[in-house]
Amino acid sequence: MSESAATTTEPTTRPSGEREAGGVPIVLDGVTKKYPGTDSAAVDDIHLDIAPGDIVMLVGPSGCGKTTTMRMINRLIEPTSGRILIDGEDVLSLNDVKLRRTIGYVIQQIGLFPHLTIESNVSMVPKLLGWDKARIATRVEEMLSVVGLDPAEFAHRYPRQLSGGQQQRVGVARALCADPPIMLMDEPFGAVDPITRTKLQDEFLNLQQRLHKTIVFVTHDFDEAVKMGDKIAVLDKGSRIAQYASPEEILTSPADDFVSGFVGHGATLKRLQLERLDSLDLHPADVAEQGVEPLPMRSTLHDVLDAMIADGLDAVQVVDDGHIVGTVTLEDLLGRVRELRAEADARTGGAASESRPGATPGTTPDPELEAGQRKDDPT
Amino acid sequence: MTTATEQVALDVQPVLARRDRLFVWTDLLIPLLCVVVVVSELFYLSQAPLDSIERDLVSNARIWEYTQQHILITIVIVVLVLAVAVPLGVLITRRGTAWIAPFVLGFGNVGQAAPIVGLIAIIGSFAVGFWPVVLIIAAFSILPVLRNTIVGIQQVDVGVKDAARGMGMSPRGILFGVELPLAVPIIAAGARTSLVLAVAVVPLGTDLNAGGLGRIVFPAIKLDRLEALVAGAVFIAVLALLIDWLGGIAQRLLTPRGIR
Repeated sequence: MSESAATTTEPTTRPSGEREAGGVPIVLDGVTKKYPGTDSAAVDDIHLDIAPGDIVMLVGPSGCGKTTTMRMINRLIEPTSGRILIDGEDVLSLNDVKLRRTIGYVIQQIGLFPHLTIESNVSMVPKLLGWDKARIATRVEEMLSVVGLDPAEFAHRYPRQLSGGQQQRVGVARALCADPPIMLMDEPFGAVDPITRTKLQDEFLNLQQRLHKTIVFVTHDFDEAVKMGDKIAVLDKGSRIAQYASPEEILTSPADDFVSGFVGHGATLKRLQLERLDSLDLHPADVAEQGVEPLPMRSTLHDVLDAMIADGLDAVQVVDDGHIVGTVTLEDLLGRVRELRAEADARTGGAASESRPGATPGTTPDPELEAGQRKDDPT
Repeated sequence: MTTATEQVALDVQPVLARRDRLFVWTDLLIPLLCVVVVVSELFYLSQAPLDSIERDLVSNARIWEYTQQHILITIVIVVLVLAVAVPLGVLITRRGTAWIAPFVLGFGNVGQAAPIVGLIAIIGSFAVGFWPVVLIIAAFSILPVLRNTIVGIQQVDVGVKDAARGMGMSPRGILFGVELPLAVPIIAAGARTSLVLAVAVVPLGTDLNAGGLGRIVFPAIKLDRLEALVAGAVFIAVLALLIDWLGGIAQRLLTPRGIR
């Protein structure tokens, strides 16, 4: 069966009355990892404040220490010095095995146990925690539905009988099963094809809207960081934080040359991916040419621009709930880009330029800046 | 750019060559062949013009008794080998005890490389009987199980081990719940090799009075009775084939379903 058919189970209803635990804050305080026999530290004195319920993307070039940083949070790697506080408690004071049972863990290789059924895979952590059988059974069913896999069809299969995308859904279900307040995700969607990746990203964002877990998400893909992150930490060698800010801020005002180099060309276009049509005032519906397929209200401005260029138009119609609600023009898009530029300049107090070496790394983003516009409804 | 609903699912589920049936009819070929060989050999012996010495040497009662002894020795050897080699192999793959690797592998290599007849001769000048022979042959056939245990555990996917550790399984839980189950097919393959080695080598212990089908072969050589010699050799070969076949079945049964 196909991936799309597997997702017909709409993950919006919750069969059992159990409440999901929301996220807790994580603080990395001067965390350093130095391997014996090496001169430079793999992670050098990193400070990071992660707010509860945020998705924080650790992004950076290969070897910058982002995975090492993430793996120190659940102590798969022991820090050489520094403190890591989860909900105020120093993880180094806890039993490492028990600590990991309270932290969801999703990796690129997925790592499902090939000799166990999907059901046994998903129920592993609750079993370790000693939940009773009935509770585990309902929870496993619920989790499989949540990630869009029909329990009746998949629970008793083995991992090799699933596609890569389905396997990673199981990986996410397994990590969420014991309802941990924190999730660590190391390039979780890196090994699936681009279309499936987009789908899994979208679904995961939807899921996160209900779960509000605190998520540390490692990726080398800046576009993924922009799409998934509430905040992005751009890391340089030794896990030096070049900038820690919202995607909007990093795109409009990169802190230094390293960040702007990492953002790459087309920062403005990427910025448009974070804006949706509802941020614009629409014209009355009669301006656009007829016969062109209208775009839904929740399209990003990037999609709108793409459609305009593809069809050689300077205006397209917008549809909401099946009704044409208005028209958006190329002029509107350009106007919005100018606005964003002005907002960014007002915030940094400087003139528009590609790089701002003077800006302080790690500045907190302006909270009023469209924080709500990227995700549909962050309650 | 298309919207999510228009996207075609590329992520198609793999076409499965699932093997739901544990046994197939070709599994029966080996035992069938063995039965044919044994029956023909017994029939030939009953027809052949044998003298009294030969007739005594290959009487049905003797063949049966020696076969039972042979099987018993082999089983004891393999149980011993598994009991020693699997734990040693596990210890070698643990970080804290990896330092024993050169010693253990050295012992295994020496065991296998040493001329078995020489060993039997040397040990035989100090002790004879069932246990000396069992111990010598066990030392001789320990290497396949030891090596396969190490390889079997090391080949477990790093992603699987990382996930196991990351979700909070204890080292012991990972060993017994993940590593060993996934190493079973490879360890079992080593055990099969050891089994066949043991079956083939047990006759060499005949002179130390350990019993087995060697008690037909060696007297037949000394007394120059070709029919009896061939009979003894045929039964040993059939036994080796059958035991390897049983080992194969056991290997399949022990392998967890998801990786079969």
